[in-house]
Amino acid sequence: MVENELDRTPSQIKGLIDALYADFTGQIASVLPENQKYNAAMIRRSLEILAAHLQLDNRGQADDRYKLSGQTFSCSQLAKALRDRQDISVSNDKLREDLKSDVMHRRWQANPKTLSKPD
Amino acid sequence: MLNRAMITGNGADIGMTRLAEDCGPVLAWLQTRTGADRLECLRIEKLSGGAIQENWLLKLQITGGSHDGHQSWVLRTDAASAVAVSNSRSDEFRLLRAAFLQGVTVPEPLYFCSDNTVLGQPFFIMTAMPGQAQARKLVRSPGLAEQGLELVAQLGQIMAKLHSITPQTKFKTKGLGSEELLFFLPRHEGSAASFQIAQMRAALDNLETAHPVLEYSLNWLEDHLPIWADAASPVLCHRDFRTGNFLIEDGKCTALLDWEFAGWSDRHEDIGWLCARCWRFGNEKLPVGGLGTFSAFQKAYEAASGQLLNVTAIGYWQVIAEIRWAVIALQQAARNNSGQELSLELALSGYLVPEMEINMLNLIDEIEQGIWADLDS
Repeated sequence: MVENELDRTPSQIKGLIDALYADFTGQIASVLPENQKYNAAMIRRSLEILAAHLQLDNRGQADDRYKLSGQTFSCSQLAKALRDRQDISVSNDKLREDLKSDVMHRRWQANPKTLSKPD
Repeated sequence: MLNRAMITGNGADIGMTRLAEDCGPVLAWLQTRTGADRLECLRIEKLSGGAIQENWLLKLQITGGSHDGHQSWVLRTDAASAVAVSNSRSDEFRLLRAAFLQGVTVPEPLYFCSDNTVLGQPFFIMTAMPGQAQARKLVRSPGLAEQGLELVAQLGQIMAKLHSITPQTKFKTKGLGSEELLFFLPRHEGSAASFQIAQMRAALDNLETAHPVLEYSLNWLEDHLPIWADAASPVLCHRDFRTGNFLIEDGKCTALLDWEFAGWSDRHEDIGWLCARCWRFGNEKLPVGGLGTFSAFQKAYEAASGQLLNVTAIGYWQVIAEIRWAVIALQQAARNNSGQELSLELALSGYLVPEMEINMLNLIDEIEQGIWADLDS
């Protein structure tokens, strides 16, 4: 019973955000005065980001983990290791590739309507 | 005569100064400064843009005094939360004065007010200049194909004029002799490149979030300092010279605005910033702010300044431009996330960061692989 409740909540929230998005873009944004268009665009984008966040799979939820050469780093651990110039036993090119992969995922989260979800 | 003017603009803006409620004290102060017999405010309008500063257009009818006639002026003051690294309004007024005296295309600075009883905070008055500043409109302008090359050449000339100002420059002012207007600008030890890396790391330390991509990119820049760091004497850099911070009318730049970040630096910093991918607004093929080619800019800059540009160094300055804009975006998001200033615009700034991150990683790839040769390729 408890598990069902937990499963249902994100689905309900997603439904609520989708409905809010549909109402806002279909009925509200179009009748706003010209000087509110920028604010409307920001609200629309915020709703898109929220909806995408709810779709995140486990990889997305744990996207602050970096697996480099057998070691797992949290986001803050990797940032500190880089600042301290620690040897993290991974080539420069491989590190850049892994960082890019993470960025591409976050980039999609920030632009879910205009970018395809990376693998 | 003083009156309450017609006020337009978004009166519900957070951070609006008391100018919107009562412009009387400002008008009285202006009447004294101009020596006018009569000063009537026909219109006040809050200008768009400026998360850190507020700009108000004042349409005035002045009778008598030093500015007799119809005047369009701009009042510039702090918004609710200024950024710590930005110059104060008095410093910005001095910078504008120095640029104006040097012949840089800027609004004429007229009056500075440090008396907080007038508006509640310092402000200054400058002439209003015609033109469009909105970057997305400018880069999509139908006239860009014809006017873009001349426009970026003019930007090269304006930047060269600005960069002719050094810490040794003395400005001739009417009846006052030479002035060291920019005495307040800090000088730093070593190269501007090393200084920027240290500044960015310090800024990251003040954030509550960790950013491996930015740390990686700063390390990479530090590892390549011998290639791009220049120990030559610094010049005055605007440090926010980009599309969106200058006014364009009929394909010509009418004014360079927003001097709040100006300081002594390496000339290539301004060029890297203007040409950074994050400031092209979708016109990727036009590296100079999404407006024109780099070769047209470079030719005009070098001719006007007599200095050859180090094009290789500009690639590195573009990487730091992406880092700097990412850090500013993170600071803006932090202002919202901490509750200091709730704003959707600030909150969304944080979601811009992956764009800058991918730009800097791609640039590093291109430079490492030898693909990056110059900005037009």
